[in-house]
Amino acid sequence: MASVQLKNIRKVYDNGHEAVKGASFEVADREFVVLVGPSGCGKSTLLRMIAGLESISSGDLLIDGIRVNDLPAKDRDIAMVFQNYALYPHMTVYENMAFSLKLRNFPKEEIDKRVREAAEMLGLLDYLDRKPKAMSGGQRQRVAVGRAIVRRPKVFLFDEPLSNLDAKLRVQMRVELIKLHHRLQSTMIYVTHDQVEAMTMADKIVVVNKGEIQQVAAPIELYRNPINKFVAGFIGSPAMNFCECSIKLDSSGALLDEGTFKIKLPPERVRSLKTNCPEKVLFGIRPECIYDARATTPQPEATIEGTVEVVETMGNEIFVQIATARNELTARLSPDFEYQIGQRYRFVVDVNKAHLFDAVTEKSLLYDAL
Amino acid sequence: MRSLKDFFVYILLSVGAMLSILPIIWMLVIACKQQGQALRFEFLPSTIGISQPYSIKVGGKYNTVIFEYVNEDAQTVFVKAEFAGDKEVEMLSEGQGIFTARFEGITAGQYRYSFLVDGEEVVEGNGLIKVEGEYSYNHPPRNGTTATESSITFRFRSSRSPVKAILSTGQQIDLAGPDAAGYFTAQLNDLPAGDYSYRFEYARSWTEGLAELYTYKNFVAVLFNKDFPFLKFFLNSLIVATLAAIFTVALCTAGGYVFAKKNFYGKEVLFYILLATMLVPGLIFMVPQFVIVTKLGWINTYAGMFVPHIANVFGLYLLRQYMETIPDSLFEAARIDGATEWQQFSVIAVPLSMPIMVTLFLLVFVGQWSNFLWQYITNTPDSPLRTLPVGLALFKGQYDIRWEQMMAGACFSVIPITILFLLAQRFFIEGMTSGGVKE
Amino acid sequence: MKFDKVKLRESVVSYLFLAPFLTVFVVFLGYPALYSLYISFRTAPFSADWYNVFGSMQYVGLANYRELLADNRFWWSLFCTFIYGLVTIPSSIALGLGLAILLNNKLKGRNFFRTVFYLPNVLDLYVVGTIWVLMLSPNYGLVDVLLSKLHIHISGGLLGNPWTALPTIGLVVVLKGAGFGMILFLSAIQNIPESVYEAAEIDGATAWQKLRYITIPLVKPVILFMIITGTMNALNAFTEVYAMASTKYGYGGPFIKFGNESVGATSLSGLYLYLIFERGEYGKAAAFSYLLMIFALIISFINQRFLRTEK
Repeated sequence: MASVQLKNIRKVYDNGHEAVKGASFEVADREFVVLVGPSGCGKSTLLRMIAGLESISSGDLLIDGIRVNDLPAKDRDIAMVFQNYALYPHMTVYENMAFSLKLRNFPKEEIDKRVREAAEMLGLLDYLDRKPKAMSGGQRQRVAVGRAIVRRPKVFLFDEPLSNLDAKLRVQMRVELIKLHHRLQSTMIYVTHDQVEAMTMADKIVVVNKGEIQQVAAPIELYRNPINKFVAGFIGSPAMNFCECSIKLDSSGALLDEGTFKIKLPPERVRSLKTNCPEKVLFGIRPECIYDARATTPQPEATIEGTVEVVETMGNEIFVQIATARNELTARLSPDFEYQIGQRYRFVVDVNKAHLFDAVTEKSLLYDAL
Repeated sequence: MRSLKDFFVYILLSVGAMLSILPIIWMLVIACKQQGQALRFEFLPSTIGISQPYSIKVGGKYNTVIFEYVNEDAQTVFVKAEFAGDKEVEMLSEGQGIFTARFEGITAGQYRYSFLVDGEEVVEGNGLIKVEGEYSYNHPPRNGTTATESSITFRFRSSRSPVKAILSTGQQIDLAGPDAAGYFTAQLNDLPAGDYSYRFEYARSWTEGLAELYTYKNFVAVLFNKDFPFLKFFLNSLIVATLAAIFTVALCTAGGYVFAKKNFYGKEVLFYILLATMLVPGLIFMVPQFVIVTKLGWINTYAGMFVPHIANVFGLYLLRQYMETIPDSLFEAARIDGATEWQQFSVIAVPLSMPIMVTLFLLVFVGQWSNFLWQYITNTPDSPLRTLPVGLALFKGQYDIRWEQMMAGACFSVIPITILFLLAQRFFIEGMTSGGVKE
Repeated sequence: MKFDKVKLRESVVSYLFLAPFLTVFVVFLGYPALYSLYISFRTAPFSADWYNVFGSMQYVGLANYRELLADNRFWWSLFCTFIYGLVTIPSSIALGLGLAILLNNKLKGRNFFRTVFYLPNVLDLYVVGTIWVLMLSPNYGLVDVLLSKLHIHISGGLLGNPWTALPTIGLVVVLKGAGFGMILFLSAIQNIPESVYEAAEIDGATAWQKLRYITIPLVKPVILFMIITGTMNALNAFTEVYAMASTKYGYGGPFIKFGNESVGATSLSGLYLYLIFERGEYGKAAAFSYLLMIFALIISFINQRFLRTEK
């Protein structure tokens, strides 16, 4: 039962580097919040400040409404799972899990009960006497999670816990962590650089870049309604395509001119484009919103023509790299058609799912705060 | 091709290995040698024994008695003879437990005699000796060689034949025997009067030859020497080295920990100051350290011997390098788990640094075990706390070099360290090059 | 500078952990270094009471330094030390590297050899030196007997001859310390990825070229380390000469002519410093120490300059 609130939190290092530039967001009780961003964006620093491993330069950190800035880590009642698991190599699995309870002088029976409960939940009962060295990556990961569970903390913190696992195991552990969250019903803050993890696990995603929070929203909202070019490009795979275009507004909508193609956006889509529209915009379109022209009715004002340069076959779909004279776009297509490398093809974009960003500020021109 | 190369590598390595432990082998060999044998290039026991040279007078005018007493454990032997007025006369030690005394100009007759071995009276046979005629006489049982005006009758007791007598003139004669009492005899006639010396060459068993070359007694002599209590030196060395190692490890572990894992004001500057002192010749500290130890009244104390060396910068550096390999996240996890600063150190850092701590312990131990100069100057020559190297140095300085005993003493210094090394060699070798903590 | 509360707290904790080390360090290393400097400008009168030598010392300015710099024996001891370093440092690097390369082969009994080679390293230098004195003694010692079998006769024996005494002592020390260099080189060599050698082999490198262009450049930090520690050892060398130098003429080995004086052929600066110290000339000994330190700093600075590996 805990909420976490960050109010304008900043982190400035001794050398003057500002790792976090005023972060504010809220994690509600029982919420699973994921901090996502490229490496070095400050998301881990944020998490470590919440944990009490880094000092907070300015701003307020509240857990359950109480300011905890100056509370040492051990008194914040949080648990953390580290990227490298941070298991004590000289202790057995049991000792690793029992360590925190032992330090807090829990009675032996209580420690034993909790450790066995957690071990059972994670399928570790057979490994309690092993040392971490004798275990696989996935098992170590479970021990690290188990060590956090036995504490029954107010808040769980995860620092890229899956990034040291191989791809298959990662997917499996992801599902297990989601189940765990449902089962424990506790507040969790999870840091990752992998937007897939963020999208699949989070109740709410906090996108961080260059020490600044870009957008805080539910996964689907983030996908549909990115606030700026960074968020739009970061969420979704393959990433959104961007083309610089000039724009003309009239009553029938907006006409984008890339130079080699023209696109007409319908008025409903550009409703929020007011009078102060910039001359240059970034037209953004997700790869999954591009179709082969042969599969649809001709729409001359939504058609891109370009040379196919690379075709990546996934099986159920193919990724096609299309080059116009000025830009390169990726399209995610069904494998119904075959493409010759170097040949020119025509593609149609779904104008209702197009995004527009200010070419200078990179802010979304279509974002509506709902 | 490959095996030929390996063969040469083995040859090279074996030669190198021999050379490398040659001093130790040499030390052991010499320590086992009989007194006086250290500088004789003789190592294999010979089955031909050569007696010591004896002297005899042919055509002498006076009756002469040469007493010979053999007892390897005896320190002093006196002889008391009736013809010498029953005075106690100290016998001359000739090494290997042979004591002799010579009396000349004795009137023929029968006399009483006895020996005093380390103060204890020993009477042989009926305690009587018969001196008669113009001849010299050696006391039984070893010899009974006699001389007259122009001849020598050789007599030698041996369990095996042949026995040969060699005269200083170069004449040789084979002795016949043995008789019922086990004596071989032969007579050499027509000798001009004068002084002669002679030796016996006799067959003996391989073990007798070995016993002539080697003995365990040097070790005994070193251990129970009243002037140089080696056992005490050994104990002092052990105490000083252990104390130094324990304290050094404790200080360096605590210091290395903060340099590896803590971020504190003055860390960089302090670390460079500490490292810089490693560049300074150690002798620079010696004079003032001596002053401080003197002022603290630590001359002739254990503290004076080891405390000045426990702030070991090399050790600190070693520990820091090792502890840096412990992932920070372990300490962070411990902090979140509720560990205090001390618990982070004692429960996480120390157990994980055990290998390097053992290494440092051993390095300091062997370093202090053989630290000569400092222990030499912090102990006055009469100090009861002198350590082995100091004791050995004095042993060498004060007496004519008794190599055999000196090497036996060296064994007591070298062998414990060798055993320690062989038991813990993993730590010596890996500690210097350790890859750090592996998760 | 703004004081970070967390860092301040950590500093307090850190200094508490460091307190025992720093206390001993300051008392027995820091203070002595400064006190040494102080008494290097002072001298005790000959009449001084042995138990209060330091109290009765008087300021003499740079006299101690001047005397040393004008002392032929001082320069001779430095020259001896230089020769000693010239003998010991390259040979211990060569021996250590050679053993490391031999032991880097995948041989049976590798650990045995490693142990045997390292063993002398943990033994008491004084004792090992004394054993060698016996082994080197003229006419009877093992080495001398072997040499005379080869019809090589050195007058006075290897340790008694002024031309051979110092190199002999140096070689004994090198032999004793070979295991240390071997271990350092071995671990450096084992850290070189096998693939680098495989790539060189594909490029057609011979064994010699692999040594010359791969091994040696990659173990350069170890070489630098050994040069620096070797220099320190030469400047500090005392025990080996004390144990091994012929004592027939007092300390310092057989005599040799240097200028107008007869000087000991093995009179290393460490030994000469000790002799000054033993005479009770503490001020001069301290000045000596500081001069040695200046040499040590210059040498390690030059080493760093010429042998620094690129970052």
